[in-house]
Amino acid sequence: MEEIKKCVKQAKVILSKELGVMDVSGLIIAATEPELEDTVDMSARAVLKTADLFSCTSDKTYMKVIVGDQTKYIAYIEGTDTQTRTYLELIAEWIKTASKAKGTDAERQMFTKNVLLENELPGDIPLKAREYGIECNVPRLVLVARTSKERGADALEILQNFYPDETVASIFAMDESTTIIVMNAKDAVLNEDTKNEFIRATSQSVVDCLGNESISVYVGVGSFVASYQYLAKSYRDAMLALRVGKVFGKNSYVSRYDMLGLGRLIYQLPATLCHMFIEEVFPSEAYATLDEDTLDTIDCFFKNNLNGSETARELYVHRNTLVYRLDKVKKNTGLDLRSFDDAVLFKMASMVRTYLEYLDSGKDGNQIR
Amino acid sequence: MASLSFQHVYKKYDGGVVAVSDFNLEVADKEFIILVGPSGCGKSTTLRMLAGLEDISEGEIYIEDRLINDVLPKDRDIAMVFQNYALYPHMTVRENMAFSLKLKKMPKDEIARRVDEAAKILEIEHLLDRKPKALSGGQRQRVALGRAIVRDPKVFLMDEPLSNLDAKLRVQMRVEITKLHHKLKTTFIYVTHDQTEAMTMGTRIVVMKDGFIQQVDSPTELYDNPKNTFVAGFIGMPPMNFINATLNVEGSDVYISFENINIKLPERYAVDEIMARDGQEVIFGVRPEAITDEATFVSDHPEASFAADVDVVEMLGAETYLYVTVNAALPLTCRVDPTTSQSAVGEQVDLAIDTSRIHIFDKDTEAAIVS
Repeated sequence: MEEIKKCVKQAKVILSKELGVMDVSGLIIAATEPELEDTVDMSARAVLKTADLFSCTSDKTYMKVIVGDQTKYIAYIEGTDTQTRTYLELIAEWIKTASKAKGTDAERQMFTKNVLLENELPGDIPLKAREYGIECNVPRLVLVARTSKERGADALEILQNFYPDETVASIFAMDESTTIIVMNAKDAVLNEDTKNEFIRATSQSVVDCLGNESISVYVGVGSFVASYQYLAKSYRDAMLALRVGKVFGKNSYVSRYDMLGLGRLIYQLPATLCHMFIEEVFPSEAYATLDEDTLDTIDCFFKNNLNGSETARELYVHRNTLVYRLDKVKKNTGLDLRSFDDAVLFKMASMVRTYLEYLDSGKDGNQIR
Repeated sequence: MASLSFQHVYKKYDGGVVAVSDFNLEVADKEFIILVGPSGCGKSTTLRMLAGLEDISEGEIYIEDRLINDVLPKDRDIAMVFQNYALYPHMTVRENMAFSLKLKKMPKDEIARRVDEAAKILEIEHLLDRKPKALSGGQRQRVALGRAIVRDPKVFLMDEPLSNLDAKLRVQMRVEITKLHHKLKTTFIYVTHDQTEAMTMGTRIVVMKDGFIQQVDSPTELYDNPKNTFVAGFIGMPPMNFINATLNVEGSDVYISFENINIKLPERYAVDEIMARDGQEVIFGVRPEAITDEATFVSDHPEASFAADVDVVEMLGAETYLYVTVNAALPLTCRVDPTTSQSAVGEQVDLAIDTSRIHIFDKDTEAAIVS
């Protein structure tokens, strides 16, 4: 569609005439007069009924655009003279070429989709990639951008414009709310620092780029893969990151697979096992007895690697207050968070608890307004 | 142009994390409000709730008199500018600025009019046919602002828009954005962690910490009358000196003592809130510029003077920072006048506190007792 729109736009610049293209139902899909786009031209039916290639009204010439043996589009142009008819013939040829090119793009995207969804045989991937002009042995990274269904199409268009160069990134929609970004990561895999910076910069760009257009997005970042053959792994990781990140990530729009940590493990545990574990660690709902201040304190204590002075400083509380709160946790739960083993147990149990709450809420973790 | 109202707004995440707590704020039409605070304080979350990019857990947000809690982001009549310019690389500046309007299917002539108008405001008319890679950092930032301006929004939201720029350009763009606010006469909400940006740009500043508003005031009020030690320490560079001290009342005179030094406070401190704290520990706050080594001032104020050892002298041209230690125990920072200061590293120097510019905070609550 975009290619046809481009043809129409460029033809207008060259010919200085109003023209457009409609589908066989008469719906104008590209026009030099933007207000006509998405409207229906009632002449389409009459044009299709005639056996002639060309039809004229008082001010327009119409021509059927035949691809294979089927009329696929109807092109029209302002004017009825013979020169106008010649122009229209050239435009029709142009549209046919553009549609063909579009077909190739679509096929390439379909191939990539099939690779991501593991619908291609691993052995076929390098051969087919060569056919589609895709360099196979280049490091790549898959990002999954999840938006609302209503803004999914806009998000796709924005991201395609943000990454217009196919050699840098390949952008396509997986469904109406999910856009896939396959990044070429050739320069990113030099070392861990460059990898980190690449992920940070790319994911932030996606969030900000869509945020600029008032689109809320969650981004799942997969793992780097060395070849096109392993792209499915990066995609799987990105999807998992998106799901797990929504459960444990809280205040974050970007979930990275390489930073999921314990969450990745817990997410795959069966609910019954989780319930049993919680009952053992927090018998009689011991966790529920902890108030908000205490939970914030624990969170901060863990963030500061069990360093009491640093935690007290960050929370703006006296060290004795911190000791009092930790003693309270010990009294209520039996776990002394100053001990590494107990701290690990508490951390795991609280994450398992969060996961169970997520399961109980029955929420789709990736719902976005 | 629009007024805003935040009423008891909360942002709570699953698992009990509260990012924003009881956020109440009235923003007048055409105001330039700055949300400032350390990272993780909830300022960006608040902005994103206003933009609709984040759900509001509790409370209400109004733009003018319209409740926007359930209004879709695209229908809120808001434009946002981020730290990341996020320009479309293959499009010209003109196309970049027009893109969001094209998405809204706005008529071409209206798009052209708006782009030209925005380009004129930002003085980037000569750049309209260039592509982003041919622009400098500052010019790209202007284009990002232009993209927001063309939407003609009721409210501009800016989330650390200058963080990507180098120090010099940041100062320049600060002025540009302030000018832009005057030109557009629209409500601006600006998020930053940089207190200099906050102090220089905003008509009012909202200082946040851990999801709570600490103080909402004009830059001058925030600087002169901070409500607690957090605000006092966050605003001002170098930060305020905090000294653990004791209040002593002798008759109608009030003294503040630390490190065997007794400073007599002016009469205005002989008030009930202070007198009732005789013998109690407090936090004594002194801004670096309220400590001077100027000989005349020191000799004229023996009741507020003391000696200290100079550890480091930083000469910045227009001002000099002295890093001193009192009684080999209490480190202090002083901002002195380089034209009169004779202080040198390793020497003992006589200093005096300008007691008309001190702050006293409660040791437990850290709230200001008297400023």
